[in-house]
Amino acid sequence: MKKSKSTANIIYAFIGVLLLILPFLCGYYLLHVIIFAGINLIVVLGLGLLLGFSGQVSIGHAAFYGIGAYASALLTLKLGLPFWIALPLAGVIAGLAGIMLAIPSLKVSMLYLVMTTIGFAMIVWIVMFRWSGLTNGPNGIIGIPSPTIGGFVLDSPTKYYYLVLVFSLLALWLMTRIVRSAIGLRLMAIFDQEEAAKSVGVNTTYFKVLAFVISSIFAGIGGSLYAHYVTFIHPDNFNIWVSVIFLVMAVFGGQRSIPGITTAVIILTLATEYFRVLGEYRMIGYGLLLALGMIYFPEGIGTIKWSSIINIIIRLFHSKTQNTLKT
Amino acid sequence: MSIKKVLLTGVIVIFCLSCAGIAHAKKSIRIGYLAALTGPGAAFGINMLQGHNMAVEEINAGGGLLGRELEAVVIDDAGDPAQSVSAMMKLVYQEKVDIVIGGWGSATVLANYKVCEKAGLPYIEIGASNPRVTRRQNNQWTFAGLQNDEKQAMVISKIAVDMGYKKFAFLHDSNDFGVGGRDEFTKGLARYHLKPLIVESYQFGDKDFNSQLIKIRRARPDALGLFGTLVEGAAIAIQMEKLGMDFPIFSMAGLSNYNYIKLGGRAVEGTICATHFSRHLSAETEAWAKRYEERYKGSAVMPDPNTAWLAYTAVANPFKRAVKLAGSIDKKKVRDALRKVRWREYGQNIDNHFDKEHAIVKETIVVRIKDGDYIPIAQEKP
Amino acid sequence: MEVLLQALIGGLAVGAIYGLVALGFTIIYRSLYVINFAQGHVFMVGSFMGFVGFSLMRRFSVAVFIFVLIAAAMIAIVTVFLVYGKIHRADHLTFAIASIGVGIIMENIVRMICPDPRAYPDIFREKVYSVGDIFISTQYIWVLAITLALITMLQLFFYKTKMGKAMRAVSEDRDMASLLGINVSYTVYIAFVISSIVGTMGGILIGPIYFFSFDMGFMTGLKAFSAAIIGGIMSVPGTLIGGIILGVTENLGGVYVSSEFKDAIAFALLILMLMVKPTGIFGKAK
Repeated sequence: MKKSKSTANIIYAFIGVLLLILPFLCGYYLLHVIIFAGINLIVVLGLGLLLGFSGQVSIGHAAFYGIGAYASALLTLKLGLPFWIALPLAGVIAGLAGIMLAIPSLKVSMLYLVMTTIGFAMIVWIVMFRWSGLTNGPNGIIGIPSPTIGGFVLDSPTKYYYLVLVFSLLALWLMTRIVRSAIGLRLMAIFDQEEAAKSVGVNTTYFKVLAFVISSIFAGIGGSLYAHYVTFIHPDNFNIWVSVIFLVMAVFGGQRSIPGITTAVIILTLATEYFRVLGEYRMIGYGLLLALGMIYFPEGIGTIKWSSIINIIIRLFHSKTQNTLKT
Repeated sequence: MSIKKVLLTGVIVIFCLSCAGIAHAKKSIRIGYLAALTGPGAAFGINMLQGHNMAVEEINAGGGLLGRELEAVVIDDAGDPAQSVSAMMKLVYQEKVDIVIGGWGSATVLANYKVCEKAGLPYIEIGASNPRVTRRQNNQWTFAGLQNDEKQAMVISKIAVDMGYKKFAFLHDSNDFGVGGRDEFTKGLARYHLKPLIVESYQFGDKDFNSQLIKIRRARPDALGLFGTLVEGAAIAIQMEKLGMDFPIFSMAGLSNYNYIKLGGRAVEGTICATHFSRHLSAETEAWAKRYEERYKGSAVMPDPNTAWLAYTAVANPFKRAVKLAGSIDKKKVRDALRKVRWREYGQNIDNHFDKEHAIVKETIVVRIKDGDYIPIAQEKP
Repeated sequence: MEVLLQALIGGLAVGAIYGLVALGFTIIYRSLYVINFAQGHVFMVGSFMGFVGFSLMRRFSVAVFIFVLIAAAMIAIVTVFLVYGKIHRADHLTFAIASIGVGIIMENIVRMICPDPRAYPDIFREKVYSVGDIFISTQYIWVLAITLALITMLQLFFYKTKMGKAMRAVSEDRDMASLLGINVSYTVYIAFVISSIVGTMGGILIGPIYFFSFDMGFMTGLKAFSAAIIGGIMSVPGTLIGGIILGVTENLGGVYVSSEFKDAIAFALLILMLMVKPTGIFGKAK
């Protein structure tokens, strides 16, 4: 027992050191992609809570991401607030928006919920595009200030990496706590057997709304981190396709599995860039990744075990006889 | 499987990827070419890439530049601002190119130019027509190889007014390209104390413009200012014809791509727009267009000399001359040389160069569509 | 007034096409309770094949129609065989993501073959009739006629043929249907084939009205999906009407609501409607 504990500690320490010195191992380009992976992770963890634990499908999360980004940008540019105040405020504003979407979502389910989230995302996108007075419309917002710590400005990928690292780890820790907490348990109960949950006195409404709010706060914080990194945001950064990609990452990761989601986010974010080796076929490669991923990991890669690899090989031989869809 | 294992695997993977850096022969001169090869701008992107490749081939066939071979690194950014920043990071930091040429769409270029500014390497953009791209504080490295909307609008509005049109209706795309065009043309008309009678807008991707067109028809204009890209433009022209609206369309260079004529057919006859190149200007322009078409006949995309020229000239003119003038590919020296260098594009009557805002100085060529071709009707410096 | 009528006429035609694409969603959803995100791209591929076929023939030809529809059916069979059929668990989301992947692949393959937007050759011999200040194009009439014919055939299929009834049975209660001897996997193939055919039909019909471009699948799919939900995804005529409502309001919005937020208002109304009647205007409450 003692031996395995100390090897575990050595592994943790190794990972920790690697994460700390990563910028010195990678070029700016890779670091840049990793920063995006970190930001995506924060958003998709929130979406994973909503999807995997309360079973509510959202193809609208880019809206909260965007609201967080625009809120943070405007708070710092127009009101002169420092980044460290704008970021949490952006999360709060996104959370309030989450309440707004959660309410109609209570009344609709499944397919209609999907449509509602799409509708919400479109409304937000249209407002970003047309309310020029507030958001500068199709011209986007330029010159978003970089965060500062003391006199230190975080305007390079190396410096920003550490910021995103801290927030990603925080998000991972927080989400793990939530999932294992009473909240997580109740949400699962609601998802799995809503009527039974109600009958034992679980306030399903409260928890479903809570799931929405938590997920939208995570997305809003991700958005703020995004805005202050790229310093130029435009409504097209937050369109429906972005929402679809977040959903893809969540499902690919296995919805309920935090390690799965983490792996999926890293793989899919890296794939969009590193598939460039495929030249013209880059996006075809991405599409294949999705299709094949779903065929071989229908429950997402969160469930991957070494034994699964054996199963895949076995399945490849048996797949001819199994081409029926079962519900 | 615990989080820790996942993180460990992820980090190791990343570490391996980063070590798989590519070693480059320092001998060649590397151009980073940023193109929209997928996404809505794909047709333009491919044509422009053709122009670029042709210029690189020709320079190499002539012995290269400074005795070194030109090598192009082409990266696709789908014309998407978010992807474009990553693509630019790759060009600058991983591929370590000496200069970046390309870019598509003002939102995209506004997102990605910062990477070049931070890293300190010259960027000749040829896909963003918004003046803001170069007109900003402390623009050190970005050059606009594409004549911006403001300058185009000044010339087009002058031509329109000279032709006797006074009552303009505007129809514009609600994206930044359409809004920018509308604003610049409004400024252009204001010089003559003219204002548009009616302004209607549409959304990129719309298919039916009848409601806007009927309102415009009611206002009885004698000309239409159309600001948007060519697919909607062609549909608008067709629907206008069906509604019996036969006054001319004026527009920016966005409509000067042959796909506009191909899609719109008869309905686009008479459209007057700006263009960056026309084969009919001189024997040289015609010869170049023929050479280009010969080189790329049979490609999946219809060769379009008006579009391809933008990339060709950026490489063959300012880039090549600046490197020669600087005598090296030191980025600062090339940038300084870009500020000074002069050339004359085929078909131009004045010397071309970059002004102190790093915007290109050239005559705007105005064309009218007649018998399925763009025929020059005027050529002026804005 | 003329503005309203013109908007209605144009909206009817485009709406009918949205309806056809939306039917593809409906048919698959009714059979499998999954959303096929590739449906919009199927529409686009259909439009592309129609463009190629008619450009080659240079004249109107029924043979092209039939050939393209057969090709559409074959593409459906191939995608089920290669991808959809292998998703054993068919959790809605697993299927959704896989279909997103398939859609991306379709879009990019067509892009590599034909990156330019293209106009259909003028083989439908269009004539424009003017009634006062309004114009009615013969294309619109063709689109509506063909759509109505298709809908009728579909309804006949579902209610009068053995296969159609079998599919409805599977939709109601899959396990029971299986117990009663219906070959469920066969019905799955049929569902995809039919939805591919109607989507492709929509793609061919939009050719004369608008242009083909490789990236038209995503947005059209999204709108068609909304149309299916508005009209009632479990109902064939409901879906078609949902499409028409979408097409007409798209146009009408520009007429009456000059505000820049008209689309946002439309979505807000949609959400309100879903809260009140989630199963859509013609949907049966479950």
